[in-house]
Amino acid sequence: MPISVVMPALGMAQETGKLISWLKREGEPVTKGEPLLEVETDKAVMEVESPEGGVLAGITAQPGDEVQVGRTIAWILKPGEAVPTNGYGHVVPAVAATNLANAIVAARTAESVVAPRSDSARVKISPKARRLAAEHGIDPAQLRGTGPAGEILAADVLAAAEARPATDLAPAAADQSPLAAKNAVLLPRSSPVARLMAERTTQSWTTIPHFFLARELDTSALLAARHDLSASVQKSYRVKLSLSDLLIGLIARVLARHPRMNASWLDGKVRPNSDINICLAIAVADGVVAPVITYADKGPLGAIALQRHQLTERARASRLQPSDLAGGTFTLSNLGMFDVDAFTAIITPPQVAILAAGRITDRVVAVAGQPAVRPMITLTLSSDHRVIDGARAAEFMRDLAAAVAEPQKWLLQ
Amino acid sequence: MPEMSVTTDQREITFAQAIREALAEEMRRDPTVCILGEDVAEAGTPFKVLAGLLEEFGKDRVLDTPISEAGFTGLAVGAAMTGMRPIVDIMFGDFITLTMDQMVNQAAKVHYMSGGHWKAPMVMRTTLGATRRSAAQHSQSLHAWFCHVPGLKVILPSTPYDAKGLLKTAIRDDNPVVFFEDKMMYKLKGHVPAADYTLPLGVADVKREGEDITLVATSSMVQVALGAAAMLEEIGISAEVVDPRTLWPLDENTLIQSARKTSRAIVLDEGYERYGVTAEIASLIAAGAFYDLDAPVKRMGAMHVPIPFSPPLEDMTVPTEQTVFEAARKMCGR
Repeated sequence: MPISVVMPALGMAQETGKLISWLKREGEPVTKGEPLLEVETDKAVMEVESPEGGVLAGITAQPGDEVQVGRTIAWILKPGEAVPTNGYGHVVPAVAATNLANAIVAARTAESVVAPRSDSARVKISPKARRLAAEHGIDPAQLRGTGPAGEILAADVLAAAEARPATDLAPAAADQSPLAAKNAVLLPRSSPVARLMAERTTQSWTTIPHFFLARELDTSALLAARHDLSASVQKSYRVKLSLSDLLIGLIARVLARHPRMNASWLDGKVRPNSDINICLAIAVADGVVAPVITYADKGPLGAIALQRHQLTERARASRLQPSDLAGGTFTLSNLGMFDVDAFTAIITPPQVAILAAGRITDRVVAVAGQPAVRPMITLTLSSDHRVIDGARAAEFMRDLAAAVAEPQKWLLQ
Repeated sequence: MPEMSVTTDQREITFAQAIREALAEEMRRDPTVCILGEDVAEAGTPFKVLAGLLEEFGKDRVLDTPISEAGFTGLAVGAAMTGMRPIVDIMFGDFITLTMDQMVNQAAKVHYMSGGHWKAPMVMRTTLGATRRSAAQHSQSLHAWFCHVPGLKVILPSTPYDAKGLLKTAIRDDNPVVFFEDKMMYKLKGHVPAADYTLPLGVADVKREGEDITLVATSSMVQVALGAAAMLEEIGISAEVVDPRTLWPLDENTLIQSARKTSRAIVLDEGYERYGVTAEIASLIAAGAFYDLDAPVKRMGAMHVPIPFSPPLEDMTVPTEQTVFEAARKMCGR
């Protein structure tokens, strides 16, 4: 029976996927598990493996197409089979991300069938082709090699350069000003991460009515808690407890009392999420990624620290899995390590809020009518006004302030 | 001295005739040029290359020697240092082993060690090449050994035209030069102008132009490469055949430029593949054309075995048109 190849859902609430390239041609044999196509999700570019062995046929989506999740885009045929004309066949279940629980399960499942895209350094490519790719600004990872062992040859790069639409030229081509030309030389071409970041933040900033609340908080108790807890975390989990870990644990427990802050905005409706999964924004070489610390309201602080440690390592090595990026319900962005005092962050849809943490620094504050020096932090909450109003956001911040003041009490809840 | 029957610009003569012409012309031009070796006089060598020279130049200038390669090579080095331009004939290249000390430690060094006071303007003519059913001691191609020594020049002609022009240049050169002739090539015919000409050392020759792959070939392998190129053309692969002609001095630039143009290169030489001429040239191309290569440079030389007497086995030890064709086709992904 023909097996359909469908556009997979690799992330929460993903409605469409952009087909980047077919890694096999129409009529070419494939084995089960062999990389079949590349898909750009809302978070990353992924290779999707063939669900079955056979011959690739009936391709209906072309590179660049935005395809509805679950739609059949090709078929895997056994000898003697033909492409079904009525659309029936054994449909491999698409990962329908209708709610968060499904999305997380789906993402976990996807891990087994979706391999992270190999980076360009490991692409099999001849020295000449590599040089030409750099000269033409072509990412070799997007090419299919025609060499004796599948390596990318000079001819493959030149064909890709030829086929590239004129709109894909370097930005300097449009703007002939000397400064733009100079910058075009200096700045590397956009990576998938950078391109996604540009798209997502633009979409968020231009469609979500953001508003911001800031609180300045005394972190004496938070620092004391880190001091008290770090030894046991180090002993049990072999990771260093960070302030982000503490903040994630506290935020998650406060979110448990404010389900609306933990909701999603989808199709014009507020949809509550049963789990609390906190995204932590991490700077990487070509932009920012926000892997997910799951079930952050449950379990010990050390489990958060361990997850955060592993995700950070994978993010910096560009080895995040789809499951690492799926299912977040709230985001923490911490720029304290960059000595930023305070900032406002852009919400990651369909989440409805993001918390921006500045640095902890000693400041003179009034304590019982007297000036005193305290380690202060500024937390700024960005909220989606379609879901959250000022009073609700203020209540969340009030509880968060209480948690920061008494972290150990809240973490034990 | 047999007269050449054709003397027009289009005349064709054999490789052996071209060598003989070069020797005779230089001996007429310069009375210090003389020949010494085994069976060079009455016999005219087993390959009959020198037939007629004794008659024209006499026993004083065409000297038969005992079977004593070390001795008469030393004699030649001394003669060269004292004003002659001797041409030593080592019948089979396998026996350069016996001449090594004279060539490597004396001829190659004397100019340097005497502060330029002495020079050794001599030519050693010898042979290379298998497939003559001559067994393990008469079939080797050991030219790489001399290429390894500073102070010696090494020439490997592949056509009658190149042989004549390069041998005349070698005889006029003030340095010791080793001139390797493929013993299977003496009957090869080719165009050689009747007029006097010489060819410069260190200038490669593109024997056939092509676009898809470069076959760098020396001596006997040039004909093999040209044959393989003709087979490749039938399946749509355009092969360029480049002959370095002299291994030292070596025209690195032409080899590299050809590989840069075609993106692929196979280096062919009948010497042992291991630690040989192919390794040196492949390394030069890999370094010089790295960013223009679509595939690793491939080497094809003699198998690392004593050359067998058994004809079927002997034929398997050296590259052939068929094996070169297959290798080139594979490299081009066909």
